[in-house]
Amino acid sequence: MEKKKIKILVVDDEQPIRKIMAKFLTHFGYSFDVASTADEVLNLLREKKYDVLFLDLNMPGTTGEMFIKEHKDEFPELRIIVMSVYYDKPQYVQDYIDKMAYAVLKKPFDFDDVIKYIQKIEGELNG
Amino acid sequence: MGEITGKEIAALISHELRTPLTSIKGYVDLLSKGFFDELNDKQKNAVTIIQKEVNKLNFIIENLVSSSSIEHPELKLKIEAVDIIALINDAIEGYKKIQDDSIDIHIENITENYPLVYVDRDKIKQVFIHLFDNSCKFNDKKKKEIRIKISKIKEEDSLRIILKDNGMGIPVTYYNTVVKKFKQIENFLDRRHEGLGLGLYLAKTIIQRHQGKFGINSEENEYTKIYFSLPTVDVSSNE
Repeated sequence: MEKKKIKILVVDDEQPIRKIMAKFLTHFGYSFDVASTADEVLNLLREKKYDVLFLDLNMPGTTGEMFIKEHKDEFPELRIIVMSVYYDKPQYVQDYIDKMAYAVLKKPFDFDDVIKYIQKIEGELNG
Repeated sequence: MGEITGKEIAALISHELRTPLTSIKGYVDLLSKGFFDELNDKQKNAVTIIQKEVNKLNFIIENLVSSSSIEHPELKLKIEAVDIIALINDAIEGYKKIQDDSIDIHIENITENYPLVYVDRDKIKQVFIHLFDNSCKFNDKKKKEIRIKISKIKEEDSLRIILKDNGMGIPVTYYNTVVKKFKQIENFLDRRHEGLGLGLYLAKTIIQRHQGKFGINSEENEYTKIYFSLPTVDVSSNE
């Protein structure tokens, strides 16, 4: 049986981080899109189906945390991997994110962890 | 508007420094993996140095943030059952990412079947990294060593961990000073050794947050022994 190809969406307001994630995902041959705001993400998620969302928490406008609160239920199968400096969040926010996210990558993260989580999700989707 | 607190300053610094650090680390990591092109040996060496320095910088930022929040009751530990040997090995790997100096770290009775410890994995890993870092920094010997001994404390539901190095030691009159925030034996301005003087403070405070005991025993110019205990039952509800 052919393996299900994973679809990835990355959102971060920092252009260098979007570029580096794109470089990394291209190298491994993944299908992905990038966005710089939560509103763009929402439009993309309503247009296409994605399996994973790499979500920056600290975005201007709708933050990652607000996005999870307001829209997570709309996309129940979407696995959200939060990318955050994290320590600047109050404890109750950290607890909430831990509960809602598939995983948390603390910035600055290792790309070994990025690929580890992607492969884990691929395994789940094809398992 | 109220005055900005130390915790808020640390959060602000953390965010402002970590954002560019994420891009720097990302690009350097991908450079080292050959994503942009194969590197020659000189380029590889240069990239390895940058990687270590970036990791060191991140370690310093983490320490500053931790020092402002670790005593705060609002900071909850994420307690889970952890294999102590795997945790120490993980810490050794983490330490190698920030430090060039070679230090021989040996775990005694590594094959023994120790009970799981109920700890915040990341925080206890941080404790070991601080202790390795301290042992390495305050050691002028050619062959630096740390021996780690683990034993079950019979009367208590805990494991005792002892780290013994062959470093310069700590005079007994300084045992209480070196576990305070921003303190080293040397005067801040005359320091020969790098660091903020947070390592032992953070190590002790993290252990105490786990309801553990922390102590120092040392012989000048011979060794320093750091001993502490970790719970083998979940004590998080007692906090």
